[in-house]
Amino acid sequence: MTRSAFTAAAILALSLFSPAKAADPEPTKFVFGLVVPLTGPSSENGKSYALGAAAGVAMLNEMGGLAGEKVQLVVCDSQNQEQQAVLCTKRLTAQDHARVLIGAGSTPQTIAISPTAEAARVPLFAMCGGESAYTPVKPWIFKGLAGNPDQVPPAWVLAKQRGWKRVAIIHDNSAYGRDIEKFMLREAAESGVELVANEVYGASDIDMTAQVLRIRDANPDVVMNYALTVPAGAAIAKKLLQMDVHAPNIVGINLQNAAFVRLAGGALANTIFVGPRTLLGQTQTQAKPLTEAEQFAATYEKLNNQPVPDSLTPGPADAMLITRAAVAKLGKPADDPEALRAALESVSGVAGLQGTWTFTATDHGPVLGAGITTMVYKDGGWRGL
Amino acid sequence: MTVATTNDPLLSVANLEVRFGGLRAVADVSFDVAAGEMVGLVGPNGAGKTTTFNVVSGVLSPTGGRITFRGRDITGLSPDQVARAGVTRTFQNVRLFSELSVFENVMMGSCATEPTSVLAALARIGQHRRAEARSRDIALHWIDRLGLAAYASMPAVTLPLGLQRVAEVARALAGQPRLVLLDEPAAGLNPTEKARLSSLLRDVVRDSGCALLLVEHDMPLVMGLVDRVIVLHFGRQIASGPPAEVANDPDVISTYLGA
Amino acid sequence: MGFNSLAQTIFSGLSNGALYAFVALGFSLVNRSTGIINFAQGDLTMLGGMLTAVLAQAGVPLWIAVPVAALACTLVGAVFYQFAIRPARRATMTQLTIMTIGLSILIRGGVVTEWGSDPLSVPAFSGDSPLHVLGISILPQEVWLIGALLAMLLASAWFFQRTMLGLALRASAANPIGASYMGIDPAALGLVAFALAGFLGGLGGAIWSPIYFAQVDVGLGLGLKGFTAAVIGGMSTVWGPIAGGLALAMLEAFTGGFISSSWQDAVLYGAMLVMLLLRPQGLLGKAKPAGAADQEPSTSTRVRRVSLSGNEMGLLGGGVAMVALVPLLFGDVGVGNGIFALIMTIVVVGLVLITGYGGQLALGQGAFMMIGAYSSGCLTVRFGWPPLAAMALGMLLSVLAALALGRVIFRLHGYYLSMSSLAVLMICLTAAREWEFTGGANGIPGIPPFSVGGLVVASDAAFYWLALACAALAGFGALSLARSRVGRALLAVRSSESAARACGVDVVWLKSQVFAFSAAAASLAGSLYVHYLGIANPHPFGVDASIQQITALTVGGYMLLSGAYVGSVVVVALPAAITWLAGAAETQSVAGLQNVCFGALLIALIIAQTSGKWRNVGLPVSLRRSLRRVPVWRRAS
Repeated sequence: MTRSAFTAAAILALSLFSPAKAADPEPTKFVFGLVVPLTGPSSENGKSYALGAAAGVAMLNEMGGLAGEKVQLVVCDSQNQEQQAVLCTKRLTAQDHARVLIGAGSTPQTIAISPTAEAARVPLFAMCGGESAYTPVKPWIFKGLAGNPDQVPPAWVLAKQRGWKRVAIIHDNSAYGRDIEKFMLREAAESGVELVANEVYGASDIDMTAQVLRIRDANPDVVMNYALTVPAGAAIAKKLLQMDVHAPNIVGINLQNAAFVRLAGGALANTIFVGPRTLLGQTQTQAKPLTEAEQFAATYEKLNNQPVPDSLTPGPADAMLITRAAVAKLGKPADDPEALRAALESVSGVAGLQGTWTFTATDHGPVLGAGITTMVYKDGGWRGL
Repeated sequence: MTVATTNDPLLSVANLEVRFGGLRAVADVSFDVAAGEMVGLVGPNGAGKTTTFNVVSGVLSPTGGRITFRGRDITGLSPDQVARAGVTRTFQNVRLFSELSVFENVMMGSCATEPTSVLAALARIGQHRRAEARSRDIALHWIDRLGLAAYASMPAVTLPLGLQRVAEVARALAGQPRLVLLDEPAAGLNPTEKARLSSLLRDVVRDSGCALLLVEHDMPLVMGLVDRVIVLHFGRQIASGPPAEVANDPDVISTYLGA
Repeated sequence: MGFNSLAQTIFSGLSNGALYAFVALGFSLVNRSTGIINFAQGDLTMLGGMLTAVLAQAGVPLWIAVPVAALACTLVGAVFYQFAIRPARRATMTQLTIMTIGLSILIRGGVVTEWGSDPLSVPAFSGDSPLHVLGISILPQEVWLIGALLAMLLASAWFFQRTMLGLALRASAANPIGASYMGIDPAALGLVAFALAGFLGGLGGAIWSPIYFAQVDVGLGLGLKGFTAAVIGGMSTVWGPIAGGLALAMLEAFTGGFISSSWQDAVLYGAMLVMLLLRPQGLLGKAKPAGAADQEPSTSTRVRRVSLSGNEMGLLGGGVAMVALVPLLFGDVGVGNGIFALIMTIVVVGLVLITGYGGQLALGQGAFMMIGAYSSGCLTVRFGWPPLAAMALGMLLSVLAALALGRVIFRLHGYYLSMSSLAVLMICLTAAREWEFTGGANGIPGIPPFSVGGLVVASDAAFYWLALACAALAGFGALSLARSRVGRALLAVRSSESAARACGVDVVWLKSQVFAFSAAAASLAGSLYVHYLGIANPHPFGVDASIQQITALTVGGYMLLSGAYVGSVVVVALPAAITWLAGAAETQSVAGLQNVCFGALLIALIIAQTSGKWRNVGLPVSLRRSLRRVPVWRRAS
């Protein structure tokens, strides 16, 4: 092989840097950029976000767009890696001219893409459970998902309501799992309910017998299974059933989807989902949609031929609704990044899909209070309790 | 180069014993090699010659006995330590470095005298460059001396066997040893090559003053070359002395049946 | 823990042990017969489960689906051997092992492309309701798994002791040259070994997957556990892998049961490390007889190497200048890609020395990257150190760690470095994730941008040039080493270690020093990485990163320093290129397609590099021209 061939190969290698084909947005369109893992262990979540974002964009356009501008969505697969997430963010801001970013699916990855968003002066709505993504306050980063601080307390409220005195929790040792553990322990301390077991498993473990046995020995009234990935959660559910642990199972947000139902099979009896607010299974009940929630559910169902399947789906759409409120405040197309940011920072009482949103300059991550929704899996679907 | 004269032997092997499990490959072998001397180690197959070699060069550890080199106990040292102490060797099945040229092979020999240090190589300090220059000079000297100049840039393994053996000798000499161990250097050579090797070795010893200890099967070659012969049989030493004397020793004759 | 739970823990250890034993059996079969470390063994197991799931979903009854899946995996093993391993005529063991890494990536990519990365449920053979025996709950499928393992055990024992083929395999494993003199064709044996390994993997996976699920991500972990089990149990007998699998599973169960499952990985890989150091032949293995290492086969006539003349130095310098232009020619995305490519280049430069020249497959460079990353992270965030000092300390710590590790590991031969380095990496990953000082699973956020003196590296372009400077530094350092007596000595050791020692080379020290250089490079890369991202956590430094580095090394030409950059660019940017080419295709298939490309590329490149057709894939300089630099030796004296 000659030197010229090598030189050619080297030039080819450099040309790999060439910008990938842009999504060709028209300059007058408002682009939302979505960075989520569409492949890898968290791909279920990523796909939920993507479909929810698509429905959100459709809904926004039905509502008339943002100050006259049509809305467009560009999605980039972070492959569940920090590196790819950062590259995605760069691409979305530099080439696709995204004016608002939504991402990145996990807390460490969201934190990893934050500097890029900040450098590009594009507001980022954090799609992750941990509050460390938006606390302490960073000017361009905003909470976007009803994450761990919202998901965990209602479970304990329900436990107290039901008179369940002995609680067992099981979670993995990833950033998500440890964050869940933090909130669980905080709730346990405050609610006066006894935590009889706190079990940890490895994020890629395939066998959780030891942990389930300890839970069984602790004889709990309820088990809180907030898994990061569906296979882990389903494996735990099946193991609990096999080991005759008949206490009801409260599952976290990552398990309220069709994949969990498919994999857990017979272990689904006694499974409860508790959240601040959920559109799970919501379908259009009236002829004319009245609330944003109903409109979103209708739009989603029209696009995907099924009702909203889980509680992650509305996340990106909420970011869009908040943006809409901010742009409405501006009264004109959002050309100036700083103006958009300032407007976002001052939205108040926006009725979103996951709750009511109010941002301030010192708080980009409010707790979304909106009551508790409780659903139990029964007769082939999630039903209100 | 002047020959260092001293009354103490250069190499002293005392009561060497090597057992492999229940088998005694070498039993109570003792001999000396003086500075500048050429000694031949002979015996039938399985006599323990290569085993003795391997012990002296540090590849094997003996189960008994001691090896002293230049007054220092080198029993049980690792091969590279032995090389750095001044004893280099060649191998029965020529082990030249297939990835290197003849020249580079010979340069490798100087690893016995110059340390191979990553830190020095990175910092490119004068010391490293000077060490390289020294190695180069010595390598060139021996390549020239042993008639390998025409082949220096060729991959070592492309040489015919005879020249490969010579190259291995050059490599062993590049380490500026006091003693070179040659393991069957004439194996596989035709008579012309053997004669050439023989005269080469004689010249080398005369020039450099280093001693030679060689294991050989070719009796005429050994008898014509060395100052002293040691005969091993079943791991034991049965004779030792000048070639003429050993050739007439009745034990040796009966062992070799007309060697 | 009550008696009941204890008994249950032991049984679950038994059933997991059966799974690990399946993987370990296949793994040790290949290793004993061919000396290759089959990294794809876990993925073959996964493939067996996946195929069973897909067939079952399509309505095929299980009693057909399982054998078909096992047979398909057998075919994969056989085809791989025939079309990948055999053509790579003059490959070193390291290169052949890298090819199995390629197969692993290929299998995973193929599965994702075809069926996505979602987990699939597999119906059990005889139902899901657990049996209750003596208070223990036993899944019927677990009985099937253990039963199948026993059947395989008996079959293996019969095969190896009573059949000619089995005897031939054992003979060939013990003494390949001697065996070939007896008329045993090593190629045929290799084919049999790989086919059997495929069969064992496929069967084990098919029977195990109803217990868990069929999911593409389990392959890598199973493979790692499988060869840990094989190392622990010993590979020279049929019982060794079985015992190893059981021992591993029991260790896992009891660590999880009595300590915490968070430390399981550390315990398991620590056990493997201890076994490698204290008793390399494993629990049931037979020690190699003394002096066996000296019986070296005659060296091959493989002479492929590059050294650089003045012209090439100029080309390299020009290359650096060209690369420096990237921020000016390409936009943000190009610069982003470029930064990650340069960071990877720094690691790969170290690999060129230790893996390319030194022949040691170093799979644990992530550990050194973490030392650099966390030194930079902790010291700058918690103690306000200047970034340069933190980076330097990280490099120093890495060097010391590598020297200490090297002293111990390089005494051993064969596959030991690759496994030991993997074990160290896994232990470090666990420690980083569990230890408070390193921020636990969340890591250390808020790492300030890199700065020297008062100069802050704030923009992307500036960071790019910083990374380029570091890469050039590392590259030229490695180049100096390659061209010096160190490089020569490494090649000599690779050709004939015993002869090198006879020349006075302290092989362990030499390899340790080179390893330390590669560790310093990796540490530098790790520090740069976290200064760019602003957060340090264990996630980017795992086994996947090691695989990417090896891929980059191979693409770049294995022993070429300029290739380190080209390879890194390909690894970083090719996925994006494939995404662009695939256009609107389903995203899951695109990610799978990327892996298929990389796997195929790895395999194809090694065949090309070793079968003689493509001489030097990369910067080509013939040996003769390189030696023109040697001064005229006909000196007048």
